[in-house]
Amino acid sequence: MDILVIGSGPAGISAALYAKRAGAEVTVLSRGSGALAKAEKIENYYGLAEPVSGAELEQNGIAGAKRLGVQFAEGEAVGLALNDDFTGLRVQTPAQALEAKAVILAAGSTRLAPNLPGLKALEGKGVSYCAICDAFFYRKKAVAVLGEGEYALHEAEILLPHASKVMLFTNGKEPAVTVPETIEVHTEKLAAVESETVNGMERVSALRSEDGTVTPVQGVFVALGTAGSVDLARKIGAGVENNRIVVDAQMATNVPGLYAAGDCTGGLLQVVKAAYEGALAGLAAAKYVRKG
Amino acid sequence: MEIVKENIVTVTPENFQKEVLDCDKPVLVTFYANWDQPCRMQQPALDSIADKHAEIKVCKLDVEEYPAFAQQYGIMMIPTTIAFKDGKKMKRATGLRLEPVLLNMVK
Repeated sequence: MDILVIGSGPAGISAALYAKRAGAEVTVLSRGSGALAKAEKIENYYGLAEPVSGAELEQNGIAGAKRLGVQFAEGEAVGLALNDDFTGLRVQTPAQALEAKAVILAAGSTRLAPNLPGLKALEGKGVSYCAICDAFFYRKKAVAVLGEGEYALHEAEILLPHASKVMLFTNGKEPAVTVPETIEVHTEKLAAVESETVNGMERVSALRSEDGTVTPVQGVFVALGTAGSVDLARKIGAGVENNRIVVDAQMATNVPGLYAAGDCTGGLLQVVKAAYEGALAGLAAAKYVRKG
Repeated sequence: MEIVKENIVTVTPENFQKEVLDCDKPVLVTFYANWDQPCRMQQPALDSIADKHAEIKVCKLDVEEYPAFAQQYGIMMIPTTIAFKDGKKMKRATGLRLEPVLLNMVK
């Protein structure tokens, strides 16, 4: 396919509409409703005589895009990489791999940053956000994956062939997926990521639970909830600063063919901004695809 | 595919002292692996700095070839870039960093 848009909120739908109008073949990968659907009333958006619910606005957007011939696929993106011959991008869902010449990240921003003591400070010292990038450092070591859904399971499965032991820590949640027996599940609430200093270098040593249990681990991979745009961007090597994807004036990232729009690029968390950025990204991606 | 360009110095445990610690210019050392996509995407920023900033030395060290050495520097995520000045570690950035951030590390 030409363009795969990840996310069906205002940024994703606008991107799809503009790219489709510009002549590209577009598919939107959607995993259901996002932040917009949670907004009870939208009354500060252009053209609304009466307030509408976020859910209604979102459904109207999807219906409008379908009417114009945009294709939709259901699924959760858990991985993003270049394809094997570097001619395009590959998006992994639990069910399939989708290849496209260009991808637009419009899956919103993750609001799940866990407030776990030690997690932020130990980033790069045992705390990682990308199993495929960093599994190499955990050969024959015990690692934990923080999360409870498809995304966490995907990360855990990448780590399995490398690590001596892979544990899934759901931090008080019930696993939302069937976890194979090779992955040990811990559902207790977590209190902190602990560290030790070896040869003057601090690194992760254990996870401490609220009940006082200390589980020795050398790596902690964060994969809470669903993979957000920023998580996917990190995996392929798109620039991320302060949890925002770095884009140029055309919404292009540093990865050829990869664009981002909406909440994931920072700034106003507003429909009007998401729609504008989506339009820019859609046009730029369509132009990129045309050039081949 | 080898991703190291000519004006970027490939460092090893053997030449690290000479090329990095004894260098009289600020040095950026990126610990990388050839197969890693974020490391590949890090490359254009390193190339650009090496091309435009003669006052900065840009080096790369392959963690797959020298895992024990990378461990001495506490590398557990790639790419990780460490800025050195007068033989001392100044700043450290984990994950892919774009050109302005890397330049800021040696200012």
